[in-house]
Amino acid sequence: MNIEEIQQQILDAEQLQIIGNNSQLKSNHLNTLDMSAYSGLVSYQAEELVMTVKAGTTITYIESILAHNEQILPFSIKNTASTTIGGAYAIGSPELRDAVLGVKVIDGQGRILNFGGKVMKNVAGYDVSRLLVGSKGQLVAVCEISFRVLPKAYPVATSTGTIKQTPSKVRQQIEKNLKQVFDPNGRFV
Amino acid sequence: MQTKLSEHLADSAHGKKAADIISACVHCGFCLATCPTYQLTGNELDSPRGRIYLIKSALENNQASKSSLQHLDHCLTCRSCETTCPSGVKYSELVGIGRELLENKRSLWQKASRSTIRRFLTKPALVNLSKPFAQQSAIKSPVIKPQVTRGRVLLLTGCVQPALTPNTNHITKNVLSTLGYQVDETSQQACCGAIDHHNAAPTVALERIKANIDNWLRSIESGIETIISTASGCGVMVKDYPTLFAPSDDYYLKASTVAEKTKDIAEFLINQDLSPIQHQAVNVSYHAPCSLQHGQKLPNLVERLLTTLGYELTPITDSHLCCGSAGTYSLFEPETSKQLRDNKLKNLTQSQPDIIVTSNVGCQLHLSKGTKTPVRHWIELLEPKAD
Amino acid sequence: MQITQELLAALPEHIVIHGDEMTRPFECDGLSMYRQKPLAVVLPENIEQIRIVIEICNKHNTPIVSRGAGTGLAGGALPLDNSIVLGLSKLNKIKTIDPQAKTAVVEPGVRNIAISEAVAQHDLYYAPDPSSQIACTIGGNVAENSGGVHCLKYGLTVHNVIAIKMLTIDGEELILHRNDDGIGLLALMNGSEGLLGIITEVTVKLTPKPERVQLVMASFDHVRDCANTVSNIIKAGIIPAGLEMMDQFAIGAAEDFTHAGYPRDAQALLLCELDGDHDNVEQELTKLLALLSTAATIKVANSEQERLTLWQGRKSAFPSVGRLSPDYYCMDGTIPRHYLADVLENITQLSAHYALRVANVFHAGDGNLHPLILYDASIEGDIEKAEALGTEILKLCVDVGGSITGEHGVGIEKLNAMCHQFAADELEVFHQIKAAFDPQSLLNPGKAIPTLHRCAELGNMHVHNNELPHPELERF
Ligand SMILES: Cc1cc2nc3c(=O)[nH]c(=O)nc-3n(C[C@H](O)[C@H](O)[C@H](O)COP(=O)(O)OP(=O)(O)OC[C@H]3O[C@@H](n4cnc5c(N)ncnc54)[C@H](O)[C@@H]3O)c2cc1C
Ligand code: SF4
Ligand code: SF4
Repeated sequence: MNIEEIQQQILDAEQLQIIGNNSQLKSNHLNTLDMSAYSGLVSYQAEELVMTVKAGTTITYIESILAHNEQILPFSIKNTASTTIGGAYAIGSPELRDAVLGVKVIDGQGRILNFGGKVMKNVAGYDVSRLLVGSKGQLVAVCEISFRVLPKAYPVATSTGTIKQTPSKVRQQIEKNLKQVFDPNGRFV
Repeated sequence: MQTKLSEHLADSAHGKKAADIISACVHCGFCLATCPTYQLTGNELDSPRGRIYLIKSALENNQASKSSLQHLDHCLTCRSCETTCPSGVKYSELVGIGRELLENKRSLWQKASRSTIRRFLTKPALVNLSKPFAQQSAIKSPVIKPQVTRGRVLLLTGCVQPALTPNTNHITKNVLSTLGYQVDETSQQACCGAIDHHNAAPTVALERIKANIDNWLRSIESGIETIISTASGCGVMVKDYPTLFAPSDDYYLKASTVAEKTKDIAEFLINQDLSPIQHQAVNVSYHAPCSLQHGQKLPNLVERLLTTLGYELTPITDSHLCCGSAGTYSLFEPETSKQLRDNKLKNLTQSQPDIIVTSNVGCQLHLSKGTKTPVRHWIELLEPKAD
Repeated sequence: MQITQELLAALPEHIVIHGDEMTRPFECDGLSMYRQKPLAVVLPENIEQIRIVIEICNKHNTPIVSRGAGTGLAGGALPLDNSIVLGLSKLNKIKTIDPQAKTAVVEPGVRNIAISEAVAQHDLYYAPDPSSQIACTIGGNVAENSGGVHCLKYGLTVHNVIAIKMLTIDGEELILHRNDDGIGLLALMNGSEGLLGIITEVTVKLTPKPERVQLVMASFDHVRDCANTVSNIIKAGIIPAGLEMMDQFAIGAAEDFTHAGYPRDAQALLLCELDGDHDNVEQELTKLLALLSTAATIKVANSEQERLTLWQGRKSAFPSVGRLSPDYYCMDGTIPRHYLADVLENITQLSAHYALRVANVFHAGDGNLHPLILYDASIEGDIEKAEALGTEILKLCVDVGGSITGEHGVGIEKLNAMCHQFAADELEVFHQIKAAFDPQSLLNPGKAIPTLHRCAELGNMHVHNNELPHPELERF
């Protein structure tokens, strides 16, 4: 699968559900976009402490590559053998969000967009690559993710989890507005 | 920052000097952090950077009103900003020029009241009159004469000290004598010029200053090696004499000679062996005057000296901030002055000292108005005895 | 002006600053190259007063420019024509400190370093330390997602803020927490440059002071050796608490101010700080010293006082450069670390090409460059030359896969450079995000995101396929 095929699939569908491998976001829809086929390493230079992978890459695979260079992921997530980084990104955790540096996504209008980058520090434009962590497949299809990695001697951040609660009215309104920004036609369900 | 001088100032030496000082300011804002008035008001107009900007505007469009002057009045000239400024902006010289430039915006009654106070403080006869009410430390020990002569020094008498804190110079003289120095004194008439200078009376100040320079040069020619100041507010003024003259002026070199010979008493004593001199066994808190730490740029000087003598000093919170005395400031801006004094005293008395010591008569008198703890010049801790 | 009258009527007089003479000192921030007087400046003393300002500005359709300490280097707090500046400097109280949870709740105008000072008694500190930390406010830090010399190991502002309270342009309070389920609105607010809301309270994470801190200073005869050492340190699996580089210009200027004992004749200087428990630091120190084989001199700070003085020199380096030149223009590009030596050499060439001196002092470990272009505003054409050189440097950063700004933000200053880094679709998304919060565009409008029109006029500089402008300059 290449990125144009994903783009086409999105444009062709009126509504679709994005899933990763064995997604925690249970599929109850007929039309699904399975991102697990879009996988593999895009770039990785150990001394930069940055890795870029396609969204369907499994955490297990990522960890095995890192291990070769005595490096680790700076966050821990519930990981079954088939959990993908894209799935973890969509579900979201504060520590994963901390590690994210950039993303390539396709929005609800089929536009391929790049936010953030492959460097440690970058404040050009709004921090969309961290905003979309936890977007649960509702706003964009995440295609590529760049994130920070650690030498293995350093401690992994303890995971603090997220707190589910009914969002305030203001927050609901803003989330609604943002849905309009990324997926105005309501393609992603 | 660049200043485009207004036409009417384009050729003035003062204007050029001010523009030159401002060009060193890169508008980074570091100085906001340590400015006592900004800390109180949170208003950039009461900060060094804001004041520099007001002066810059005044130089550029020549339209400044008394609102600008008010913010300059509010400045303590404590020079904390100079210590903080990484770019070396000579703020106090600039604010001096700014004040002169804006002095004519002052209302008449304000001018009158300021001028009265200024004259009062620089007229010994008048100050001496207030002695019975305000005197801080009376002389209790006998005068000591030097046994040997290791050198000759000139002690600046000051205009307020002889009347209100006579013991400071008395002990100083005894200490110097014990160490073998012959002490000459300037007359009480020879005010250093600070009060006039900081209250926009430049002509009066310059006259006084030139007379001082001439007199003291004569003393230097006759063999005086060091001019000693026991009031850091006067000391900084004398050390800054050269900045008052253009380098082409005859007085520039003369002023530089006088400035180079001038030392704060602590600066003079720090390298001397003080072990033969006894000192009081008390708990002390030391208040570092702005004129010493920021003006003369001698931070930690007295602290080191007192520690060598064996005093245990607890670090004072916000020791870089002004106590609110600031020359005549306490008279013209009483509210801010009192607030700063209260803050300062809270920090100084944290360790419950028996006595607060300092290096400047202005701070001493100002602080003592707000506390029961005695406030003295640190030199009074020493107890020189004739042997 | 009617709006000024209304502000004066609704608020205490002493917090409303108006008139040309009094508003002028607010006409610029840390980037004094750009200046614009606002209609008025309001310095609120409580949240209710901020609400009143928002309400009145809404009514008059008047933009609001938030301002912390005005130390920003991108013109983020530059007033707009016809705008009200909302200065948060009076809101400077530390509300609560919780040593157990290692958090503090502070008002937006609290200075960065004041937090560390206040929590020092609990052996804690606030980790992000912009060089301007003595003066800059936490609100400004969040708005810029500021970094500092210790962010390599401890993260940027976004990593150290637990929650914020903000007011939207409707005057509604929005509370955002790090652990909120769903999208990362808190992360979005970090670096939003005052365009999305007014930050009224910040809960920060506090970090325990490490058992041992060890600073090592190494000087080099060749910039390239120093740059390569930076890469080698990271390659060796060490993440120093801070890893900073200075070139000869910067060394001289900083030494003039601090007298820290920097070697003036060195071509490049590396400050590398290790921290952690005793044994760890000892091990890393041994490793580090072995990596410094190309250094001309090595100095291991042997007292806390010495360590602080060495850092003070680094942290004051920008304004110290004010001693060398009446004006400077500070760049903030980031690059992948392994390009460091090449990019620095290119900057030297560009500097010669434009005949303007460039001083370098920067966060080498993060690949965050800070070339300071020295110019003199009183020389005609110098500003334009400085801007042109700056643009070249930023393009260079983007071309090697970096970014035009690592921590100072876009503000007004890097709008053109944004066209180089982002495509039209992405810029459009940014504009829509702004509209999702502020449909009338009243909060700091025109900053941070260039209009598509502006980029089109510039000739769409966004590079694809590495087609580089200025092929005559040697690249790699
Ligand atoms: C000498 C020097 C060194 C510096 N070093 C560093 C460094 O090492 N790292 C670094 O990251 N930066 C550095 N900076 C840049 C600057 O200090 C930071 O960007 C800082 O965070 C700005 O804070 P401030 O309070 O001065 O904000 P301001 O400059 O007043 O404002 C900055 C932006 O934040 C917005 N803003 C301010 N407060 C609020 C609020 N409460 N709500 C919403 N928006 C708000 C403003 O609208 C503006 O867009 C340096 C600056 C200087 C002058
Ligand atoms: S610290 Fe110095 S350079 Fe910076 S704004 Fe203040 S006076 Fe200007
Ligand atoms: S001299 Fe003191 S009061 Fe005046 S601006 Fe400087 S720091 Fe502030």
